[in-house]
Amino acid sequence: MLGAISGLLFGIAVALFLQQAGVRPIDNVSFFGLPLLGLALGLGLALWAPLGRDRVVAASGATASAEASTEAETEA
Amino acid sequence: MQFRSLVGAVAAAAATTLVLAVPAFADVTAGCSGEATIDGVPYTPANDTPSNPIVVPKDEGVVIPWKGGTTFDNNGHHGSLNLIVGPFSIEVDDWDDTNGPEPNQQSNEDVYSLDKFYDDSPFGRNIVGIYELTGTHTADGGSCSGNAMVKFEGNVLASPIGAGSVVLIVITAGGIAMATFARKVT
Repeated sequence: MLGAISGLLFGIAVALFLQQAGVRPIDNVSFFGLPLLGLALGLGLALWAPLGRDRVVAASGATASAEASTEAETEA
Repeated sequence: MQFRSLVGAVAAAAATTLVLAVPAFADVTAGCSGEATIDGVPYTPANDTPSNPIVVPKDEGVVIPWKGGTTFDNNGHHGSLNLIVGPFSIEVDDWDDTNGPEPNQQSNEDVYSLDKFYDDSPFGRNIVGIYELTGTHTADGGSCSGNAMVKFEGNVLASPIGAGSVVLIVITAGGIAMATFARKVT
């Protein structure tokens, strides 16, 4: 979510900056294309998360919970 | 997996938008001609790329001599000039034949006061950057349109939009960087 929102706003900001700097006018390309590219960039990086840690704790916690549940049923 | 599909769809949409938008800048369509002179430099619709724009000064008291003409029956004519901002357009000037001195007048020339533009502009003389300018002219005998690039020079950081965009770039780049630290679901 953070990556998507940041990417979208990043694309809008880059389009505005390029227009203000006299590089490219705000036409339909930069108005729609750059925000979409930013959105794709943000989503892609968030999904890839090259610097993120694996969620090992959550997975083992769920396993432990399931094991505890099975044991309780056996005892009953 | 749905997330990956979403990313792919967004990327494809962006790529399509960019490919379809290969600069479609064009000269005036047949039947019309026009020229304006600013600070001694003549400009025409050939100034239609970001690298070859019409440069508009910020000085006070600048008047722009212009002339234009048509090759078709010009009775009942009307037209306008607009700045394009994405899907929106801002009217800069318009004209019609209600004040025309002659019937079927096919050419005209006058001067345009740049002060009037700055007075009417919501940003006044703080406006900077490059804009696409489009013009249309329609009359009983036909119609034509054209476009050009207009550049208002100035310090990007001195304009509210320019400074705001830089701040937004920094903040959102930080957000994207933080997203790269997101936990992976395995």
